[in-house]
Amino acid sequence: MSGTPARRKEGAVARMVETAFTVLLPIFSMFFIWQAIQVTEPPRNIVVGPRTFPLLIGGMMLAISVVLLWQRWRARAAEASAAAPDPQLGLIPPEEDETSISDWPAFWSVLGSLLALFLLLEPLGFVTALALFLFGLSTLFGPRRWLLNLVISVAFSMSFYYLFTRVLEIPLPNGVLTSLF
Amino acid sequence: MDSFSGILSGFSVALQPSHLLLALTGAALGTAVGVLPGIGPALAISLLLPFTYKLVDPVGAFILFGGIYYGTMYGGSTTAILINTPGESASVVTTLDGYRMARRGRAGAALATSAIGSFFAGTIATFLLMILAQPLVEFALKFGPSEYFALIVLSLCTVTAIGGGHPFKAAFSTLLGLALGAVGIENTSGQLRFTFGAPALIDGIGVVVAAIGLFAISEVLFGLGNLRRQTASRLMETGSIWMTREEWRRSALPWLRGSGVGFLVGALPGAGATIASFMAYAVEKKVSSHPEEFGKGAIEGVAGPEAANNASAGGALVPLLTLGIPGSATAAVMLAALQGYGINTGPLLLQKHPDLVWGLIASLYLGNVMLLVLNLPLVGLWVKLLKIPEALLYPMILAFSTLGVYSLSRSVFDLYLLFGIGVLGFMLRRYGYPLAPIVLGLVLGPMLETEFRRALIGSRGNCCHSGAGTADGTIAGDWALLEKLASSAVKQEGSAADVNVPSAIRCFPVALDGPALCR
Repeated sequence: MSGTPARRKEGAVARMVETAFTVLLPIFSMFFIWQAIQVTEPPRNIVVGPRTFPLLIGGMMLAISVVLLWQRWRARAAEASAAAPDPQLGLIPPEEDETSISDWPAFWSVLGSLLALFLLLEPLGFVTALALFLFGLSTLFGPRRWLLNLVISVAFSMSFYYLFTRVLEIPLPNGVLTSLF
Repeated sequence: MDSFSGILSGFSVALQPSHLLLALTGAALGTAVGVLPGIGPALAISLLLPFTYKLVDPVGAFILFGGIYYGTMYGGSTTAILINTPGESASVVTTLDGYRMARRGRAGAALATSAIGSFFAGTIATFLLMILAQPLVEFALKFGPSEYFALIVLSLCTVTAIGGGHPFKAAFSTLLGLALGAVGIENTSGQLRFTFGAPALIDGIGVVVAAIGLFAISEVLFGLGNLRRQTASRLMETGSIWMTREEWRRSALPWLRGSGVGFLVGALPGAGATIASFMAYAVEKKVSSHPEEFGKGAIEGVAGPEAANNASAGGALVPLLTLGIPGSATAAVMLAALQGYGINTGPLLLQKHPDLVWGLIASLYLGNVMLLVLNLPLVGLWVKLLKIPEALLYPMILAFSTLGVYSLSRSVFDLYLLFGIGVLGFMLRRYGYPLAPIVLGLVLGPMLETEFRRALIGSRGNCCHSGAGTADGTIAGDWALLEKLASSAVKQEGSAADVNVPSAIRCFPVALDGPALCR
């Protein structure tokens, strides 16, 4: 199973993404330091000002992230040499730990629907947007229970809308349904 | 006021009907949160804040939070034992022996030993919290800014050194938290930093937004991202919850040791319930006369860690209530909640709000009794919660998160921030960077900087005169951290679990020395 070419390619892509992520860390640290330098010091002759602390953190972050990058680099070299001698056996162990994703289309649809929810929250209103979000996602993952999903989604968004606006007196935008509730 | 009259007044607060109801609600909610995958205590408290701010006073809110904190530690073990899936990260170890016991038909005994052990440990931890609170506050009142600075550095070092995971990655997480904490208005000079012109960032990145983003969104992404390919674990029968005489005998000492280990680890600023349970497991395995049974269903491997994670919840409240320094992500959210009520945290909390501190302690005693009843005879009720389809549960967690974040700030900007932090949390978790240090760094960062600047102002800029003990405390903390980093650099890519437990124990006495040296 783990030796199939598709699986192998997936593993290679995953390692590349991890390296790319590790490369981002020192870049982020440098960006943070650069932004810390941009902070204006109050017009007094002082050594320790609002810049000092972020600069210290940024410096340590840069040092740690360079070490992480170096370690990643060494791990990558080890992975490459371990995979090279016997490509037929498929030495890449299938990642079964809790930090792996086995279903990337599902992952992207969750992320996409969450962003859509945030974008549509004010134009559509809480009840509509939340109900659509809940129904859409739950039916994607449990298509056979669509009727139950629909009922629960609508009931959830209506009851929490009432709870927040009436009991907690927190106004929530209601978009297209403003005239109804 | 001494501890005795304090606790009496605390009981008069906790026994008010409304507070009793809140403690019961907290215990029930906490157990539910513990049983359900995807929600931990920090997240549950974050999501409840819109309700508590509006509906209850700070005392009631804290009684509720205390019930939730203890309750999740009880509830987490149920799923660990019955379906081999920990409901909480603090119950990961319980799966090792708990599920094996269930497969041998002793699920009921495993549930019983964890519930009774939790009760025992929770009561001991609450008792220790009660007798330690007053003397610690009196001690802490003598602290100046430099002592506080050293303590905060120590907690940051602890969370990095024994917080779990790859030490350099943990160090990066801590620093990232500190960096995020620097966003917004600076306390000493009032200078704006890293706001990028966004008015919503002037107050900084909210702890609650960060906690919800890091924990809820990443958890849901992992949960749903594996749901369709997952093979469902079989739910074990609970069976009789009576333990045999032999099981009682084998559980008693692990409960006691677990309570001690858990309380100490919990009280250390920066180390939480998960570490406590792993260390208790290591201790039990070490002292056991039959270590080969561990991993095959040894009852000690359930009793010790389950007692430890409950005791650590009590321990974590010690630095929170006496020093205003949170020891875990959950305590950090509780601290943010107190600040949201406009209460000044720190050693003066006990003097200014004795009803809150003593009321919480008293209600923890009562909550423990409620939790024992809720979790032992009524365990079947909670198992039914597992029937909620995950396809509905995970989207609902996201819906709750959206409602919670939006209602706290009423801005869509915070939702985009939530999204960004959620994606960041996902990436970090995927590559093995721990998330709890980020939340702690975010809370402790501004405190650290303020104390640093205050200490320097107080000593007119002379670092060496800012308190002789400070350097010792800081160095002790740093040393523990450096040793850990160095040992990992040598072992490099060793299995995380193997490196972790022994070096955590090695760092433990060193880290404990820190506060002692501060005197």
